[in-house]
Amino acid sequence: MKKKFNYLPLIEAIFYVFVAICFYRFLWMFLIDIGSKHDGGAPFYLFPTIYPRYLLMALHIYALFVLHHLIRPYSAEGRRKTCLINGIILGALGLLLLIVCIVKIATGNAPIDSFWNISLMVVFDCPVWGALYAFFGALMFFYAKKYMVKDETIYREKKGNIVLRFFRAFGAGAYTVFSLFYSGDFVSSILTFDHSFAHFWSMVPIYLIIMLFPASLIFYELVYNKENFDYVAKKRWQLLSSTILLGVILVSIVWLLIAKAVDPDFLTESGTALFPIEHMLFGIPAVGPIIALLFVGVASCLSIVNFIKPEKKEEAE
Amino acid sequence: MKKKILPILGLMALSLAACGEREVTLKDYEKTLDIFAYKDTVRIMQIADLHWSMNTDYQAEKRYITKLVAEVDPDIIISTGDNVLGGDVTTYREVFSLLDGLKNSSGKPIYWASVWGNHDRSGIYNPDFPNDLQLNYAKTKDFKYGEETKGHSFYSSPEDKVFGRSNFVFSLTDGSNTIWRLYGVDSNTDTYSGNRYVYDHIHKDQIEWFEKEAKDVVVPSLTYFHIPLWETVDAYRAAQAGELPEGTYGGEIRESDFTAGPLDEKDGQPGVYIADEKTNFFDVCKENGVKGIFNGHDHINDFHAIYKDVLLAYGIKSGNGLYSDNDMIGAAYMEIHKDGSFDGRLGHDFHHCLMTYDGVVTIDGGNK
Repeated sequence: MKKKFNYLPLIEAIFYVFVAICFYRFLWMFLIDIGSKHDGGAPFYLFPTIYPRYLLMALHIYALFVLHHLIRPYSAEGRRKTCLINGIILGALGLLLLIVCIVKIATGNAPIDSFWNISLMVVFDCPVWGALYAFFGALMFFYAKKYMVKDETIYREKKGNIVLRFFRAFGAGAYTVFSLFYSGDFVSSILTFDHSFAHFWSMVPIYLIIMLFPASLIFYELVYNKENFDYVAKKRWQLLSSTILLGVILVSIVWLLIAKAVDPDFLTESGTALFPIEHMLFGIPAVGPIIALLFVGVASCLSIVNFIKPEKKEEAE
Repeated sequence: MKKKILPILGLMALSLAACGEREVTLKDYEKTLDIFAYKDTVRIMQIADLHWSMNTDYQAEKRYITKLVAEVDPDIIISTGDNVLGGDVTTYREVFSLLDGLKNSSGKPIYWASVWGNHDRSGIYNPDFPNDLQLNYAKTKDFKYGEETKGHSFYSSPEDKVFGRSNFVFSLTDGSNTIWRLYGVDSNTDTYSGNRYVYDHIHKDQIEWFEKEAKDVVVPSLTYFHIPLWETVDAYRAAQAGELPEGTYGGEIRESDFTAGPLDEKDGQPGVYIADEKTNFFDVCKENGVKGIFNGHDHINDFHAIYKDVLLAYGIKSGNGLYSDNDMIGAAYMEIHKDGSFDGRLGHDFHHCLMTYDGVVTIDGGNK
């Protein structure tokens, strides 16, 4: 029988890229809004005008998590509850956004550029998204209520106790939000940059390092978190993915050192746009990529050690 | 057959020769305008720290700048950088298309250029985009006053080895002789000090380039860049200590924070976001006929002083982008004369035009 193509992860990936671009641009807006610490700015002076944008960004990220839980539920009952509970929340927040936008536009408090002038729909994108989330939230709730029955099927086991699971979920969520920014950074760079700028070749390892964020998430979903995988095949894929990530890290570090030696000013000359958080908020260069290097590097090393360990045991036996 | 090959080989040799790196000369940094053939006094307006972003209401900001220009009625506009922070290509195009389309009260195009601030590359675009965009408006080498050209920017950025990009010269002539020169210098962005970003300085090779340019054509001049020099703090301290004569200094330092530079004592330091290194740029300027040095960067400082016979002055922040004080937005402007004279005192040849978004205008701190 021909295996049916599962298009849901593809939808999730596309939505992830979309949210990542939004989040990258949102962070720029947010940093301008709070006034950078670097420049001693006044905090949140734009907030009264553009707060629907904050709500919309929160909704985008929330919707991404909901979509992920719908695609990869622990159980059939979990999926039903996700639809019921998150359907209400998503719908209510979408409706709130819609109402806020309508009130702002009706009272003349929404100048054309105030929402987000990069959007194709300009002033209308916030209310349109509000309406979409309200619709999909309601749809999810009523679909679950009408068509989804209680089902005790377990898709995958929950590992660890509730405290561990909470911290694991929190950590994964935080990492995802973090990686959303750098993924958006990376995709925006591809969309807006070309290779003609002065320090392009010095900047290549920076792009590779930023790419570690989405790459690690993809490997996690495709290899580590995959349930119906043969044990040996899974171990081999883990080794391969970890080796690829470590290889990228090593190449990037060597390239970075060479770039720094021959082109010492490349990061301040061409990198400030890539690191608005570090540059404007902390005054420290490239915190994100350092975290990516450490996190992905350590995780990959542990994975390789885990791969080698059982073989040693077998040898001892 | 041989006859066919020879021209091809010749063409190939020519192409190879053309590929060789052309030596950049001092003239490559220079553009000229014969304005003193038509006027005895030229008015130069300095705009500073627009900080347009993706959040900017472009129409409102354009109205503001257009009205400001109508108030000042300049012949030339220089932006001392930080035009954009957190913008995209649209933002930058909006800024430069506005500047390029401005005309003075007699309908003549206003010649303009922008040096770069520390934030001009901090946006969602190719890092070279602002430079390339401004070059699109700067294709004319020798401007004839009043004649329409494709772009009115006197910016230059030759493919050189001098650090920074906005190092350029604008020579104002009477048709045959240079009377005044305006210099743009890139004060660069940031540099690392230990593990932190600090503001960069004008590099040694830039100062050497500047000195060569200034010695090549010795005329009175004004210099524009973004990040203040250490001498700004020296001048402020001298003014505070009563060492400068009355009437030769004014304005305020309202910033409450400061960065590296000479500010090693924690208490009682003026809030100046200063370059990380003291250079000899001020001395080189002074020795080479520079009458005025103008910078931006600190949004709520408008201190100015004639220090060691050179006017050292902050521009006025032009608009409310990022952060500002409503009573300190507008523009600074100066008038230079055909006889080479320039009085650096506020209210003489140097002026402040303060203008709020409500349209309230004051000149030199008093009501118009």
